[in-house]
Amino acid sequence: MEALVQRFPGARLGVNAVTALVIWGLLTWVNQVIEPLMSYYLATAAMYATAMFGMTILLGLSGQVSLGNGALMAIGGYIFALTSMNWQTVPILGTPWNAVWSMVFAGFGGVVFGAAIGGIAARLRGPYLAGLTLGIAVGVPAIANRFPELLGGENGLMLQVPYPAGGYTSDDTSDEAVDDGGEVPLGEEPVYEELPDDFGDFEEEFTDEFGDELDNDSGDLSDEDLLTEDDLLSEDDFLSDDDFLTDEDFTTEDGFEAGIDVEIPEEDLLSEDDFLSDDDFLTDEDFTTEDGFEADIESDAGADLDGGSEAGGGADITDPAADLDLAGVDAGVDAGFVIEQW
Amino acid sequence: MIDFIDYLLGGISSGAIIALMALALVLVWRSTRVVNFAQLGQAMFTTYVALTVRELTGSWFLGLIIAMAAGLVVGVIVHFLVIRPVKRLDTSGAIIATFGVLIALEALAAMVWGGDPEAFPPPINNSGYEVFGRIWPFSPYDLLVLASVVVLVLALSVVFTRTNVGLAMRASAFNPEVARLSGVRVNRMLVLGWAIAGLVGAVAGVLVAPLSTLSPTSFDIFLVFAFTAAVIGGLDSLVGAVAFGIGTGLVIALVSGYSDSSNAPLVALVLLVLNLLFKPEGVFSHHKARAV
Repeated sequence: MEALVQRFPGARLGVNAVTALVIWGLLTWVNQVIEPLMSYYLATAAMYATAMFGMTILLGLSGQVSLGNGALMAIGGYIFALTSMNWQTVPILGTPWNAVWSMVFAGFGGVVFGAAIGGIAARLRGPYLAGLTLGIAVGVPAIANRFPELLGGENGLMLQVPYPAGGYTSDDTSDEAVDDGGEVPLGEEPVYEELPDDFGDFEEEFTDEFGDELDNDSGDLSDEDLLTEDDLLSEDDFLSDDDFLTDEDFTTEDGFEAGIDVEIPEEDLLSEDDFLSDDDFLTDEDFTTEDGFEADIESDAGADLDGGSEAGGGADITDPAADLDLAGVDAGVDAGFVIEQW
Repeated sequence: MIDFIDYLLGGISSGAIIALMALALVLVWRSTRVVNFAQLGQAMFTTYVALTVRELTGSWFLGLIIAMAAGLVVGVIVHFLVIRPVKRLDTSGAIIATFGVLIALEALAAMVWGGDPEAFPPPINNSGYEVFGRIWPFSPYDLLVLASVVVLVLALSVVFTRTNVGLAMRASAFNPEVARLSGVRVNRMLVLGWAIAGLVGAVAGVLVAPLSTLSPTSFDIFLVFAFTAAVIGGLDSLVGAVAFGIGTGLVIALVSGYSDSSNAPLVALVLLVLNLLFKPEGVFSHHKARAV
């Protein structure tokens, strides 16, 4: 082989071309005999191999480390999707769109973006280039997220597989296609059947909900059916000031004016006598049992009772301390008293 | 105006953390002339270690200490296992190798701790201080972050300028041949550089985790920010790394505040491109040997 190449300088190219053709033929044949899932894996492998070609050129031949080749892959993918979904014919040429044209344009876009990045990258080497390309790898997804309407945001753009014959024209998003895939490709409005210009004949008779025939012919309306000036509301039809209720309307039949500030007679007010006095409270003596034994008061409430009545002796009933005592007594009677028996 | 102050205050602590990460990148670059793209992967890994320690013991501080130790160890391991064998080949090989370490660490973390984002709550209150009857976006936790960063940077600068080890490290970074002739064990200094960088990265990781969530890939974006800061700072300069780390954090906070936080990576990219186009040697660097 080497001898052959040395003798005919163009031989290596020929050998490579033949090898590539043979591999392509083999893959095409294999792709037709294997299951669809394996075919998918094969396509994925071929895709990554293609991406590796780019890396090989950059890293292997020119020694530049690029961590951002994935970004260029993304750019190619977006161009493929956008051109597929938005263009039905090839610009200038006017021929119908197909997948090959999408790939051509994606490759062209990759060249443009790659040249733009390369313009910056050519001045750099080593870690600087690697860092810049890493920044691009992070930046491209950020751009995609910035324009969700155009680029689909986090979810990206969705294309139908297989590529529809004749491209993603509006015909392919008819009800059938939409129902089949369950999704309308992003970037395209679902196309609804257009209504014909002469949509039925409005002269036909309609029936209302009671079954009466409604004649829709406008000719039936006479001048009398039109509204005249009399049908309009006049000033008199509006409420005037006299129509509103006045204070006088609130006076009762007895002549009393209804009002809020009613005077309550003195007798009706509660007097000091109506409140409980000290005498009304139970004393220790009241707790003495019939046998003459004094009940033991074990609860704290009992102690409060003593203290409270001493401290607050003669005080009025509204004294908070007295209130507290009152509550204490209740609690004590309920739960705290233990009458010892022996 | 009040918005402006709010955004700046909100950006200070993340800027300080980016400064730490940039510092870690610069430390590795100075010692081995390799940009360690695995730096934030190492930080992610040690933060997971901190999370585990914290869940076991309940102590955030203990988690931080263990993570720092783990950062030292991981840095040394990466240096011996990957960088030293690859570095003999060529420079771009080392860069790609660090990227491989990043991917390996992310996969390892996903295998050990799972790929789902984990919450890493701040150890102290993370709601803003209230001053003059208004809640400012600056919390006690932000103060803790700032204090940690300042302490770490001061300690590093003392080590580098006041100790023999620091002098030896600077010498071997500046000129390995002459340093070796002068009796400096250059290889040890390289290992020490990786170890210290791992430690600094570990601190940065533990500090940044409460500001986002912790997942194997959640720190990736900080790698871009830190690299941007380090490169603008000159990649050789510790001062530049800290200054532009904080600067990058503030710019990102302002852009995120006035437009949208999803613009942050684009801002970093634009900063990086502008710097590489117009001042490729960096602001704080004395070297001019990075263009082709």
